[in-house]
Amino acid sequence: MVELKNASFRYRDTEEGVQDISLSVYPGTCVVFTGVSGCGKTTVTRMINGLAPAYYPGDRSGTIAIDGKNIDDIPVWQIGETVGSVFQDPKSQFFSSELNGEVAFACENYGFDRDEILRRTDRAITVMELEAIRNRPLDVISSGEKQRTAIASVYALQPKIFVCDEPTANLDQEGIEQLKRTFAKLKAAGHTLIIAEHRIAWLNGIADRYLYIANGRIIAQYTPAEINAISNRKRREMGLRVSVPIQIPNLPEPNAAQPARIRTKLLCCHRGQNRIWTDLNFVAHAGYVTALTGINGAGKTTLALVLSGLAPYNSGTIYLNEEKADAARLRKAVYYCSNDTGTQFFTDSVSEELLLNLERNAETLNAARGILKRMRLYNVKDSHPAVLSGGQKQRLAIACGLLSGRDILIFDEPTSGLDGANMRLIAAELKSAACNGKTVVVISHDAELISACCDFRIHLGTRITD
Amino acid sequence: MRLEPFAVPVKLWAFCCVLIAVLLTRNGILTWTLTLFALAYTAMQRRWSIVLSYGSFYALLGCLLYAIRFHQLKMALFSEFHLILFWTLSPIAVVSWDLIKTPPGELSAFLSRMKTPTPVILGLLVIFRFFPTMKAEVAAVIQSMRNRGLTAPAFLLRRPLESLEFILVPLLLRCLQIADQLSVSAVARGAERPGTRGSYFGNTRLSGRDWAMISIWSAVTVIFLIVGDVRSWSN
Amino acid sequence: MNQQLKKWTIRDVITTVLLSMLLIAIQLIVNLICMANDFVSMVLSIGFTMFICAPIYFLMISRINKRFVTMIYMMILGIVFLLMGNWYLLPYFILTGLICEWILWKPGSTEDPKRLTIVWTLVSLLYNGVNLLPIWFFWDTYYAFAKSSGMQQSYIDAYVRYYTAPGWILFILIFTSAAGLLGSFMGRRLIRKHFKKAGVL
Repeated sequence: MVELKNASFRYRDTEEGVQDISLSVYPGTCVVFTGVSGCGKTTVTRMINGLAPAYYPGDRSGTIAIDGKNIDDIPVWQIGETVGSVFQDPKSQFFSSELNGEVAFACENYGFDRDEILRRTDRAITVMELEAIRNRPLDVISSGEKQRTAIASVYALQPKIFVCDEPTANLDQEGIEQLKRTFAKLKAAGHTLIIAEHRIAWLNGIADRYLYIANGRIIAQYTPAEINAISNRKRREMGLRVSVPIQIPNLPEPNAAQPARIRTKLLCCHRGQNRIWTDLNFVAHAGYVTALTGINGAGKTTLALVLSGLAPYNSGTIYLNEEKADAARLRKAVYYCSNDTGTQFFTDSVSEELLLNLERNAETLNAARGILKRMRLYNVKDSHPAVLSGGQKQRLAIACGLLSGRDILIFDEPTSGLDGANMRLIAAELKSAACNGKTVVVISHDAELISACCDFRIHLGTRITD
Repeated sequence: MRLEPFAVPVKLWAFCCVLIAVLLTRNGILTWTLTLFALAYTAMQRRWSIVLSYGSFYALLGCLLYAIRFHQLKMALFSEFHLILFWTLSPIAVVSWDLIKTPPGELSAFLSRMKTPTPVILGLLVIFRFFPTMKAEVAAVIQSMRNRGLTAPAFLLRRPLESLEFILVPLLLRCLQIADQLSVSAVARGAERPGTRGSYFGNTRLSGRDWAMISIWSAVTVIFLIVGDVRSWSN
Repeated sequence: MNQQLKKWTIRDVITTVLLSMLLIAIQLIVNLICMANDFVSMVLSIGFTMFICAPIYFLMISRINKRFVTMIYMMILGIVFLLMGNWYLLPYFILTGLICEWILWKPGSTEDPKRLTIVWTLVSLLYNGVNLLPIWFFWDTYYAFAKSSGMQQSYIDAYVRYYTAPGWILFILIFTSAAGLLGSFMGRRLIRKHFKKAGVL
């Protein structure tokens, strides 16, 4: 059992943190913290697993007890045996390139003897259903498999409590569904789950209690029935996403008979022995937002890179305004916005980043100012892009695309890991870009985003052929 | 004979042997005997990729040296000196390549048996994760640069310093971010626990085959030094 | 307590190792490419790499801000060379590391850009050992082979002209130190412009 009494935390040298958090989490239950980005839900998870203040320096007050023991009396490595932690981005947490080594990592640190490590590792791999990928390098498995590998490593320690900080932020739809099964299993086995999350729909059926946090305080508590009953308007005001999964709307495919801004004919792409897609006929029109969906591994990102002139293809033709176009021309006309913001920014301020490689005249400066205001980035316009929050980075990346002056904009999962408020902001921007004559293509599985802004939908996988 | 990897101590011993042999010999050309033996030793561990790739590189080196020696070939690229250097150091290169191809888990198992402190072992594991991680990050940075038109040759030539900055800054910031995420995940998984680390891999005992290999390497080194002339350091 | 004297954390170890590996990877790749041409390899390559790598070194030292960072970097560098057979570079770089640590020993000096500049310029200069020492150690072998292949004495000597002619030696010394120095200035600029502002220091 986890008990927090008036627990507060403030990160060193900042005003950020949480105040007066009081709650009891009973064994075998699942508690979800939600709220807009930066509200403090991650900080609460860090207090419970001891990383704040052990790893993130700052001041803590109030009391936190785990199974009746005051957390101040336990060294952080010992907390790890009772409280297992799962983080956002599994791929940059691995210490091993293969499954067994990674799953055994935590057990090795705790110095168990070899037979015990083998037993625990094997069991964790079986329970997390990772048997099939035992001999594959960790760098090539899917994002969902990576996250389950990270969970398996923690599971091997048999902690009573799992604390998860946005575990789906870097996962695709399939990964989220697998993760849902995993968490249901953990809960059924009696583990306590404490989860901070934006996308809460997948937790429907697992969560017992939702805590809504704003400005570092718990504002409201909901049972599943109560949170599902919140009206759409109220949800929008609270900046939340839907709490029950919704279906991707049935949108028509773009009309291939009309003249298109960008079109491919019989496009084929191989990577080594692997056929990614063949005979692909893709069409997107100016003035509309087209959703590109498809199962994991269908080659959505590859298609986006090929269309942007950033990756090679094997055969077929790409047409811009019905004229054949090579990679160099595509690069001038198409902007690709990746969802990995870690390597996208080059300059030392948000405004410089927007204007990078653009001609600086009154018109672009005005446009930049407008976009910064609309994207709620104006107050951070002089900050370094690296200090922005995840949501702000995502918005900046999209703003760079919108301002790039290119006609065709492709966004790759622009709203994964974003709260409801940010998601709706981005949906509105994509729609207005299309209204201004841009061709917008968005790779996404975010049913909320697709319902909010897309006009057409192309599904890869059920092959789009004539 | 079973074809399977030798234990880590054998690999380390093999490395010491070739190092001493190359260090002491005066006959650099004769190291081909050691190189061939080292390649056989990697073959005994089913490291076909090393045998094949280093083997063909070595054959090429051999052909070039033969052409220089007997047909007065002059090198336009690289130099005759580098060829000799690579030729002489080849046995060490082969044995090291095999050593660093050892699964990191086995190396860390060996180190934890030697009671190495956990941070050192984590450092070693990070070294092995460096290449796959960095490959992906460098590719991502270059892709975003191309996307934003920062790799046009005209731009690179006109503003080389700025281009260097555009590569270095995102890469370094990302590196720090990765280091932080790795550390949090290590700390949350008990890396700060004092005491010796356990290990998933590694049999603790050397097999008869391992001992045999240790003896063979020792013998090969001694014979090589007898035949190959010990370097005298006085002149 | 002064930051520089604090205990090393897991994060320090991992950051040092990652950035050292980045430094070493860049140095080795540039040197390998430059090997294609004697002049570029022996005269220019060290200057290039030390210029490019300076910001990484500055970032590493400023980020960790503790003693022995340079030593660890030098040891990993030396071990990498050891694994390639150039065993003599391990003691050589450990010695270099000791000198650097000595310069940076006084608490607070890892935050002093002037001292860091001195260290990096010195490292740039000493890094020439990567080219020079192999020649020194393997010259006998090469000379014997070259003679038996019927090469002219002048042709053999020409290979080491950059390390024997006083004019060239002077040029190499000045060029690599200058490149290290300029790299240090760029490192200092990037620290101010980016890394301080990005809140990572």
